[in-house]
Amino acid sequence: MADPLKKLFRITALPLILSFLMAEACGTALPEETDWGKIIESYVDDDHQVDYLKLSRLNMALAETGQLTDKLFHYTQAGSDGILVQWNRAKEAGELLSDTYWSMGHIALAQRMAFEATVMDERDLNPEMTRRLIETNLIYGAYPVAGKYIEALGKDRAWRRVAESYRVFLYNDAAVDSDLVLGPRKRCVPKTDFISMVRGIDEDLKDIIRTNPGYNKAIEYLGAIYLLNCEMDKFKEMVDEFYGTEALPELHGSFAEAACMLSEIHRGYWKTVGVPAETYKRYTDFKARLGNGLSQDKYKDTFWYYIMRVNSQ
Amino acid sequence: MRKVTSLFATIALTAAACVPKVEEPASDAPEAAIFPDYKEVTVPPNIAPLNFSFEDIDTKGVAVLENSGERLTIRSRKGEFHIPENDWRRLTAAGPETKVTLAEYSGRKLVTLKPFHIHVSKDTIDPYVAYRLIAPGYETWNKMGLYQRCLENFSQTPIMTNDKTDRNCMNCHSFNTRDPGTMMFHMRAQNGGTYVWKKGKIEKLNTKTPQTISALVYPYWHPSGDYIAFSVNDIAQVFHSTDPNRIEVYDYKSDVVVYDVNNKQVSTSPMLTDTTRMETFPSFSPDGKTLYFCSSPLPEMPQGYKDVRYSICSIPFDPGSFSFGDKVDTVYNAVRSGKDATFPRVSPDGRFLLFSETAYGCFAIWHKDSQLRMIDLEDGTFRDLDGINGPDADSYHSWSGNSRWIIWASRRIDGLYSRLFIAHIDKDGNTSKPFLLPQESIRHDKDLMRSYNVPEFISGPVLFDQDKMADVAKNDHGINVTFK
Repeated sequence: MADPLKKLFRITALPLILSFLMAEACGTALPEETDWGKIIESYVDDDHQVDYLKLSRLNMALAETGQLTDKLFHYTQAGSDGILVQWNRAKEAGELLSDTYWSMGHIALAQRMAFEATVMDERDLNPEMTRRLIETNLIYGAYPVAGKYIEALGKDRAWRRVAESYRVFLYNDAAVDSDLVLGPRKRCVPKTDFISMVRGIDEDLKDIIRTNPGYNKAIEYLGAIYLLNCEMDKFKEMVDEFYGTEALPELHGSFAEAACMLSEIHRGYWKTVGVPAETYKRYTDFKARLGNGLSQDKYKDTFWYYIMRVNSQ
Repeated sequence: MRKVTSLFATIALTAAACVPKVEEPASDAPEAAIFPDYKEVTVPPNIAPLNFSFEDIDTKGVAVLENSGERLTIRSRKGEFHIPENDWRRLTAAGPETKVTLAEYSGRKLVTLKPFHIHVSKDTIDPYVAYRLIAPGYETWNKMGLYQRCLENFSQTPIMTNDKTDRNCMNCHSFNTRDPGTMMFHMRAQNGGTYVWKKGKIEKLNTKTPQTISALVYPYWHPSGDYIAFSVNDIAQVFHSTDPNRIEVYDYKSDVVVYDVNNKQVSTSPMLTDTTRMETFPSFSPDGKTLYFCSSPLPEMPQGYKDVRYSICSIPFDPGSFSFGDKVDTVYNAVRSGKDATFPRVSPDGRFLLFSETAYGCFAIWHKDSQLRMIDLEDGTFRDLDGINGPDADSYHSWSGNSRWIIWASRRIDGLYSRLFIAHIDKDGNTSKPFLLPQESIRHDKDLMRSYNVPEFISGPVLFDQDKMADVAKNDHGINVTFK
């Protein structure tokens, strides 16, 4: 090659080749999976101002780490909008709702919101939500369109490996069933169809729990929504239906606290649902301090404190 | 000059010599697996080239196309066979049948596959089709537009896109007997209204009246151009938990009305506004004397959504006096069939009525079992059209001006994103194998994340000024339609 040509090659082609190789190298790493612990650690609780998007992400992290029932009221809560944010047709709300429904095991609405978020995205591709569309379509056995989304996601170099990792599930029900992410959620798809959200999210969640009682997050969310909305009758109905089953073998954390409170109307209820005596004792202490006008600060992490705060507002 | 010509001839000969020879196929040659499936389809003589690829895009090969002494040999390029437009024209003009012989590489050896044919009809097709491109979505929309595609080549141009109108929703485009100069469509949300483009003028209409359920919805032009039939609907959309249909669209109530384009009035008949029934999806017969519509008893909604069964009915219409007859005929009886029929469309020659049939409900596009069926209006017999229906949601359909072609939206490729298919129907109602609307690149239909919606043949391009339309949409208060 003549010298001027070599020089031209160095100036033009070499940087292009290097950038291609670097991009390829980046594409070999999987995008980071959600670090739920980091979300919980970095959450800043502010009891004066609630950021529903952040609160919803926190509650999702608690659910994903199996702590929603126990630690729900360790943070300032503000009704069930802190779990399911209002759908305002914005991309961000769509993404968050898709994640929440996915966490709940509500596959239909996880898919719906993923689709809404991709439509509202100004980018050609929303990789996270396209991934959700792949996963939900694999769960439904809608393999041709899942394949289409795999192709689309694979065009993003950073996501190529992720996209390719889903190919093994195409036209392979057994692989979907045995996958640790897809399988449990596939078992959440109700056997009998219902129209989502027409009866309310709680009835949808009950169907999911009945379909897959081993998927504990669904009942954690259901109970949390009832407690955050102070819907005690509905909470009791839930406990009455599911206590002692695989879905709710025992009551602990905020669920046990709520059962103590229900004992005000339903005498001895806490005993019938196996609430430990020390929890009930703590509840009676709380009531005594309340009656004497003493500080309740040491109960700030309880459902009782939450409901007192809600009632005083 | 002679030297230059000679040079070109030498280059051409050298290039031709570089194309490997395709041997005659063995008697047990394997079938060619191609996308789109253009094997043994029937096409109009004026259609764009039917570019295709091997189903496995990584396969390389050679295609030989022959028709009545004309011959073209092409290599695959990035897995696709692109047929030059002039060569395609030459081939399709040569005779009624183009034989395609494909050979694929197995290592360095070319293996000839079983040839197939592309049948060329004498019946031409309207040169344009108009459609909406939308995400096959649930509730939200973002980028959306009405487009037109020249069927004789690959040119697609926008009719109206919502980037000019605050990203609003636009839908229900409709033409008077395929005339691109007489059309209407709706805009929803911002700049809401019905927009009528006729004789070079744009009108914005506010179409909700105190007497009607809603603003005007599903349209169909009267062939005179003086009227447009519409439904008025209270529509809901919900989401299934398990059902593969994903989405259910239904009405709480609906009626049919007719809009007088010149006097800006709507009128109806008690037989089109029965409160115990839902009437919707109107269309006129080609002579304009009959108004077809769908009608279902109104069950308790929403829980009764699976009990909705639309029959196809008809009522006489007198355009001279803008009046309706007093007797309703049932053309398709849902009680007898146990099924449900929507979107009646009569062929321009008046012989056949084409419709979508599903198990229940009003929105065939979201019903995987939706299929096209046809009634022969001469003798009332039904045609199942098995040869053109696919495994997934065949719905919204339009007739060509000569009644020999239909175009419709089908979800058969991936189960969600509608693509346009075209089929020939002869004068006796016999169908030929349908073909996917050809695209310049095979990747187009696989990559496109939007659905083709409401395809309508048109005889030429729509030429209104988008900016002028946007100006009317944003700045015109609109004419209030009244009820007669």
